[in-house]
This record gives sequence, structure tokens and C-alpha cells, in this order.
Amino acid sequence: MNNLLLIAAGASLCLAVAMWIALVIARGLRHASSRRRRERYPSAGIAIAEFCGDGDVDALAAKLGKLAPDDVVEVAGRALPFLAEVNRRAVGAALERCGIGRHIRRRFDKANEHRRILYCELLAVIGGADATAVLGKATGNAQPAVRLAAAIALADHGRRLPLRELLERLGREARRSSRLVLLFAKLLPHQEDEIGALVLDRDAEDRLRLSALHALEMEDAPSHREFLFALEEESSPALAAAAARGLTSQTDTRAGDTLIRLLAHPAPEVRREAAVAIGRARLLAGRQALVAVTGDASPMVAGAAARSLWLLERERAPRPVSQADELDAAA
Amino acid sequence: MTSLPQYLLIEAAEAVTLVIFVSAGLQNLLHMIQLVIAAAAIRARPPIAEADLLHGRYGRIAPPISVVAPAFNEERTILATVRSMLSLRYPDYDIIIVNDGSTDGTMSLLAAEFQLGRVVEPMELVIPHAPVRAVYRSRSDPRLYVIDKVNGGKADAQNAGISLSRANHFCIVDGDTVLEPDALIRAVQPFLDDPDRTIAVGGTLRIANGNSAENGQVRRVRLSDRFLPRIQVVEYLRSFLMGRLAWSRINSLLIISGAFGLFRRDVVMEIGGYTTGSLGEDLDIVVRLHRHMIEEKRDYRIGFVPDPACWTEVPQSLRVLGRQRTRWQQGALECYFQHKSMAMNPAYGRVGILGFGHMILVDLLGPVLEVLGYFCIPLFWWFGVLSIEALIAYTALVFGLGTFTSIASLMLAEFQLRPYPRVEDLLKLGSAAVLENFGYRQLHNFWRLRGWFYYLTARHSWGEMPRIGFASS
Repeated sequence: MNNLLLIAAGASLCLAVAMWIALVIARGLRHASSRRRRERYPSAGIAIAEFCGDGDVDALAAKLGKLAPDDVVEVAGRALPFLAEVNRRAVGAALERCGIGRHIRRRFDKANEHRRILYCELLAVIGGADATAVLGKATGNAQPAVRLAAAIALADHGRRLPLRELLERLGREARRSSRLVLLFAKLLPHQEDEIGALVLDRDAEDRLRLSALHALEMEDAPSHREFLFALEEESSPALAAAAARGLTSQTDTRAGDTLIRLLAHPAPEVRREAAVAIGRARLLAGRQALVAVTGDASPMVAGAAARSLWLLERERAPRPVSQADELDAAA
Repeated sequence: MTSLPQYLLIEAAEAVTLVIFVSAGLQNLLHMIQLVIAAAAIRARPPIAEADLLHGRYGRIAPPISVVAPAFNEERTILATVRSMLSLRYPDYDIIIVNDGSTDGTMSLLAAEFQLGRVVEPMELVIPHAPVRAVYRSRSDPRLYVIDKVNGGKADAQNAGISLSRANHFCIVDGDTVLEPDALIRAVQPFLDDPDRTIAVGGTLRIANGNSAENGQVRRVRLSDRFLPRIQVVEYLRSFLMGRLAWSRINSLLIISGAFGLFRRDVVMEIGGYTTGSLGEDLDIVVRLHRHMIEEKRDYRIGFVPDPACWTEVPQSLRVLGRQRTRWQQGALECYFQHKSMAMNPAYGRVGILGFGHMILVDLLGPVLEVLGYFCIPLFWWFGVLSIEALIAYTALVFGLGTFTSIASLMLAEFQLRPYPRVEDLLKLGSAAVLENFGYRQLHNFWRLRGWFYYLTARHSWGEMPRIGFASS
């Protein structure tokens, strides 16, 4: 037994020393290669930046073609979200011309999760039948984040997608992500009705419905406001709370009345959001209702109501007194 | 022929030896398992070196965040901390500095540097905290708020900050921490991947001693010339990259460092915020979050991102370090005994069995048994109860596997994060990983044992941590 322990300990010590030596050698080698890479790396960025000035796709493709494909992938991935749509498409064409599309398609299955997401983002701008085929396959990838990135990339091509089937294919894990909002936002110009229907679909998962609602808000869709009112009767606390949050920025009487009614919602998180929204919207008509809610059984609701009430009191009669005095006065 | 008392003594000695051996073996086995889990986690999802990619990917959907930093007598570091916060790259955030009744120039420095003006801001009175004297807002940067309050301790100050924040996510930062510019966008990823279930996320702390900073950002990364901070670099890499990453993978992470942690505000408010007066408030809040969510039968996740989030100064003297480690041990004991009904309780699932099991083995029994081993094993050998082979085997087991674990976590860090740019730094770190086993490790266990003593005798003190501040490049 002792010998066994000794062997184990000795082996681990030797292994540790060997690992340490290997680490130092690897670092030395890496240092040299990273210096070369550092010199090459900005070239891709400069080429893309220059392109945005003159718009010469051939020149860009020629410049990028001289660089290592991995460097181009990395820099193009970083630049794309910040480029105008017209430049994005042209950079995509240049990437395809200099063989990056082929490089990505070849490497896709071997890459790690982060790289695959990046590849999806680039394939979205490269476009074409080959890219669509890779992306279509990637919507069935084992990693949820990759599935979602592939779906967003497909939506980026600007075509209608079978929404329900796509969501089914994405799987539960991917449907939990906040990035779903981006998918819906990309689909919105072509499928607003379907996304709107999803908001009101009580059989759908809350996160899906919330993401659809958020996408409508993000893209400033005209139907967003009506959906907020429609959600007043919602039994799902998450959706009703989201409606209360959304109504904060709506300043008309109808929104105010809805918020006051939401103070009586059975779910405490909805009452809390409504109380916060009334304060933020400086809705003086909600003062009496808020006073009633300061005695709510949930301390979270009561606390939010007190804070909002204090804001309303200051709105009504601004004066430099302490918060405690104000709360006493309000109560 | 041995007499009965002699026989009993030998039996007892053998039993004690066995317990010590088994405990040391189990601890090392746990470290190996953590190492494998952490390596798999990093391989599956490596940290993204280029933060621009994250901004492009998540910028539009990133939720608003309030950065809350309690400060008590932090005049040497507070300006660097606030500047680092103001230079964060994140679409929507505000900063709340809570001056917890500092007696030095913390408040006046803040007021002068950031042109603070008094404002009337409502605070949500759900979590109790010591009275607030005034709330200030910066005229030069309206994202910055400063709460000036009566001293109530770190947890109390954090509660005041949470009460003022408006965003549903808040980031707790220490008053002496310098944040990486992309810390928030990196830490927020788990919240975006799973917004309904993720309730808290921890980030990796790196040691600032030896670095130089400019305008609140670390400009030159260097390993400290002093031996003690170097050993702590190895400890932190082991703890964060190996331990915490592995625990988060199995959703049993019990601690998110007080120096950097991102939380969902509504859930923290449900549990009443931080426990005031606690010596291990960062451990306590995570354990209470686990408890609350499990008891309410809610699906949840507490995550960890291996990407570097912030830089913090560590003690440079044995006296201060000893005091810090003693306090950490007291905090762990305080938390364990407060929540002991969770320990090894299947009702609390992996947190109860694995998380608390680890706590019992490593934090509670670990220092006691290891110090006992330092004395008993040589003593038993001296009296002829143990063979020389057993003595050597024990020593080799403790030191050999300890060194292996440290070097392996350095390797993990090197391949994914490359924490220090110079080859010589790597050499120094490697030597620290070996040398920490001779002297420092024993001292560390003694400090932890002192934590036990202080806990049992109810000695309760934070002590002071002298700051040297960041050197300017």
C-alpha cells in the first residue's frame, strides 16, 4: 500500500515537472508565432476599413486572399456587426471570392463552439446555396448556441422561414436564450403576423412569447403597443409583467388605466412591475392605488410601491426633505 | 508481548493515521476530478479572446446593470477603481459607490474628482441597511452615483447599493478592484444564454500586485517581484480556473467572490440581500440563494465565467495574509454551521451532497486533519507505530499531488488565458507552485486552524488590509 502511494506521488511529481517544462517550451514557441500573427493580424482589419472607404470588392478580396484564413475570419467577425448593411454584403462577397467561404465549410464540423458561432455569422453575409446548406445542417447541431446562431444567420438572408418548425428544431435549450430576440427581429420584416401570433399563443413557452414581444419592441413594430394591452388579461406572470414594463413608455390614459388595473394582478411580480412602472411614468392618477399597495403582503411589491409613491409625491410637490418624511406623508 | 494499553494506543494511532491518509487522498482525488471537469468545460467553451465579437453578438440584447462597490477607507485605490468602472465597455450601466462611513479621505476624493452633487434619489426600502446620509451624482459623468452612509459593514453597504439600483442585474465589486473593460459583457453571457434560470454568475479574479495601471486600466501585466503575491497567483488560478469552474458545471458553486459577481436583483431581494455582520458574506449569499431556490422548487443556475473579470490587490505581508485567511476560514465555518441542515441532505441535491461534502472535507476537516498529520505521522514513526515507508508515502502524497494540481491548473490557465506574457513569469509561477508546498502550505493550514479557534471563541473581526494602490505606468 505504501509503495503504491509512493509510486503515485512520485509519478505525479514527475508529471508535474514534465508538464512545467513542456509549458515553458510551448510558451517560447507560441511567443514567436504570436509575434508573426500580431504583425499579420491588423492587415485584415486595415483592408476592411479601407474597403468601407472605396468599396472595391475585388481589391478587398485580393488583399484578404494574401492573409491567413483564420486571421481573416477573426477580424471579419469582429468588424461585421459594426458595418452598414451594404458594406456587410460586399465584404461577404469578397470573403467568398478569396476562399473564406470554402475554408469555413471545410472547417465547420471540427471547430469549437465559439468558432462555429463565428462561422455562422460569416456565412450569413457570404450567402449562397452552399452557405445555406451548411447553416441548414447547423440548425441541428449538438450545441444549442450553434443551432441558434445558424437560425439567426439563415434569417439574416432575409427570407421567410417555417417559424414553428424552426423553433421546434432549435430545441428547448436554444429556445431559452435571449438571442432568440435577434432571430425574431431578423424575421420580423417578413413574418410579423406569425411573430405576433406567437406573443398571444398561451400554449407556447413564456420565453418564446417574451422574446417575440421584445423583438417587436426592439424593431419598433406598430403592433407592439396593441400586444401590450392585449397582455393585460394574461395569466402568465412573466408576460403580464413584461406588458407592465412595456407600458411605462406609453403615456396615454389607456396605458395608465391598464397599469393601475395591473396593480390588482394575482401575481406579485406583476403587481411589482406595475408599481415600478407607475412611478417611472410619473402617473399621478395611480397615487391612490399605490397607497393601497404599500400594505401588500409581498415586501417586494410594498417596497416598489413606496418608492414609486415617493417619486409621485415629489412630482406633485417637489421639496428637499428626507425620504422617510416623504414616505410618512404619503402613507 | 504488548500490554492492553499499548495495544490500544497502537490501534488508535493506526486509526488516526488511516483517517489522515484517507482525508489527504480524498482531497487530492477531488482536485483531480475538478481538474478534469474544468478542462472539459474550457475545451467545450473556451473564453473568447476578442471582446469585440461579444459586443457585436450580445450588445443589442444586453440587460442594464448597476455596478455596486462598497468602499471603506479606500482612499489609495478608490479613484483607480471608479475610473476603471467608468471605462467599462457595456451598452447600459450605472455605478453606485457606497461610502460606508469611511474615516479617511475616500468621500472627499470622490467628491472632488468626479464633481459630485447632492441629489434626491428614492431607495427601495426592502432590504434593511444603516441610515443613508446623502446620495450624490457626478456632474462630470451622470452614470456615477455615490451613497454616503453610516458605517454598517461591507454587507450593509452592499445592501444600500442594491436598494438604490434600478436595473434588474447588479454587479458587486470591491472598492479596491480594477475591472477589465469588457468584464460585464463577458460575465453577462450566462444570463443571456439562459435568462430565466441564471440567477448569479462569478468571474475570475486576477492579482494586481506588480502591474501598473493608467486611467483605471491595467496597462502592463507583470508578476509581482515578491514571493507571497506569486504564491497567491497560483492559489487564485487553482481556485478560480479549476475549482469554481468545475463546481459551476455541476451547478454546485457555493461561492462567488465579493470582488466580482453578477446577480439578479429580484432574487437577491427575495432572500433579503446580504447578511450583515457576516465574515463570509460572499459565501453566505450564494448558499442562501441555493437554499431559497431549492426550497421553492425553482429551476435555477449559478454560473461562472473563466474569462478574467477584474484585478485585485492581495496581501504582501504574512501578518495581513494570515489575518485574511483566518477570516475566510471563520466565514466558511459561520456559513456551514448556519446552513448545516443542508449538509449531506439529499433534499438539497448536488449542493447538499457535493457542495457541502466538499466544504466538510476541505474547509472544515481539511486544516484540522492536515495539521494533525504534520505532528502525528512523524510522532508515530518516532515511536515505531508507523514504518519509514508510510512516513515517506504520506509526505509524498501531500506534496506530490499538491504540486501536480497546481502545475496542471497553471497549464489550464496558460492554454486558455495566457495570464502573464513573459516566459520568465511562467518560470517564476512554476517555482512558486512547487515551493508553496514547503512552508507556505503549513502556515496556511495553521491560519485556518486559527480561524477554527476564533470561530469557537467567537472572536469576530475584519482587520485591516493596508493598500499600496496601483503603480502608474
